[in-house]
Amino acid sequence: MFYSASTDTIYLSPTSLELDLHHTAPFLLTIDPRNGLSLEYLKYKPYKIEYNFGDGSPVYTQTLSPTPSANLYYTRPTDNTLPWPKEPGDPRNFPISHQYYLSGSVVTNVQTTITIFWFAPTTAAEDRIQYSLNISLSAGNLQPRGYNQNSVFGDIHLHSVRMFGENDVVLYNFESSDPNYLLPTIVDWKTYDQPVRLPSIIESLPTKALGGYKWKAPFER
Amino acid sequence: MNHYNNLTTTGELWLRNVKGNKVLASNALSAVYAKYEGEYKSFYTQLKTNQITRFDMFYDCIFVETPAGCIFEKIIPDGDAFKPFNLLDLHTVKHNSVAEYISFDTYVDYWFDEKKQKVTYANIVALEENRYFKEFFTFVILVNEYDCKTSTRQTLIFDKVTLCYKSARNWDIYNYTFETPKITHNALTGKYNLSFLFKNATKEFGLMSFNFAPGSSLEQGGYVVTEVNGHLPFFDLDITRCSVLPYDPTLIPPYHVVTVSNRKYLEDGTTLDPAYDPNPKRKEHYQFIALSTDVEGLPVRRLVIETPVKPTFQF
Repeated sequence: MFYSASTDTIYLSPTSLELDLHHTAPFLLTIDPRNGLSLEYLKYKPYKIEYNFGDGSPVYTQTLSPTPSANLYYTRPTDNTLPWPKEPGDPRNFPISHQYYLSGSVVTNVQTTITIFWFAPTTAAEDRIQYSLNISLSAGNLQPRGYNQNSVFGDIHLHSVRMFGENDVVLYNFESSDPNYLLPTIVDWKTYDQPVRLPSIIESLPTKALGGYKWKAPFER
Repeated sequence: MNHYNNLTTTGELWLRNVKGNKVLASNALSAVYAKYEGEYKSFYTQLKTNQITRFDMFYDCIFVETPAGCIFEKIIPDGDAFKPFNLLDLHTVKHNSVAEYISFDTYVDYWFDEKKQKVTYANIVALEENRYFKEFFTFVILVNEYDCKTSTRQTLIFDKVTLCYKSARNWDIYNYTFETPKITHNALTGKYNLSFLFKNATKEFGLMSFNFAPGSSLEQGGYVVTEVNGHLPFFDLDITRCSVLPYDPTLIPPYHVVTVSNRKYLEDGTTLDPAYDPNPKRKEHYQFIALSTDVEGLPVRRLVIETPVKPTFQF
């Protein structure tokens, strides 16, 4: 079971091929192709939708899967209704959900692409259309929900601390409840400013392991 | 599973003695617990009735904690059971050292340095005086070091921290929480860090972080706080009036330096078997043991300060 600090549903439509999203990690995105992708827009019958989430997870492909009661090469209905409900195997019938996490920094930018392929009548004809979602993820506020309704966690405790290196860098290992996470955090106290909330002053975490620990950003998978 | 909220499980504590038999801890350690029967009755009762909240071992030293306090003890076999290596009372009572002025006390956290064979442990104490002085919030950081070789305790830090604030959000002196501090050590620089959360009435947390290192103050066990950092969103602090100072000596009885040798103390009431002495050169260790006076009827408190200087007493 996943916990999502924020969720969003994107309905693919002709109006916007590129979209910018700003959310707090972990972020659950649902891409819904069931509405808006009419043949008037797509021109031809789609046979595959590729979802490249851009975060290193495998590309997910939803392909046309004909069913005995449906026509693979259907005729556009005359009543101008959407055609794909009559064909359950149409790839536009399947909304897709994906969970995004931070990846090594308190701010992570991910570009997700959705490519719809259709049966083009000739090799010279255009055979696809691509959507692009630019997702910017940030760490949530560490303060518990009792104080701040925009916060992610029910409560926060300091689980442990470790100190490394010649500069006495301190790793504060917070533990949250509801949901349960371990949140390794480094605070750059030299540039710390009191009104600034804690997650925004966390240094970019080093990419290499230090002191035998692999450091992860809050909500890094 | 949330680790912080699932640290405990209910059960009996058992030990395996030198013969390999499993013995109830309350029986095997009865001679150790008996040290605390007189002065700390509630603590002793909790030990005997298995109200133990934490238990740990560092080679032949045990750590036992109950709601009333904790002990570090070096134990030696005595037949089927164990007895204390040192009869010196090293009990860490909650509310110790500043007993009359306490409004809040935390459990201890400890750091075992395997190379030095020492355990550094710390707790935070908030003071009753906070209820009378507005715009100031004070607390005491207590850091002690337990020597696993000699089974003695040394105070490293005993400092009073004062935070001065111009304004505060949701701050209620009758409704705040200190969490158990966390201590760590950087072997590369020799520094320690002590960090903890404390929360206001709406559970909004503040983070305090202290670095301390060996210094020149013998009275403070040779350690001084070198850096204090904090994230205190519910205080608008007046930084110029915040301070970290040695705890006010006028609030506790004066300490008298009593020259008692470690060797003599060990022989007081018990026989030290050299076979269990991990340090054959232990006689070369010298200690001052400072005992507080009891002239006002207050409990006797002890402060052990190790010194490399040979004291003026006879072995």
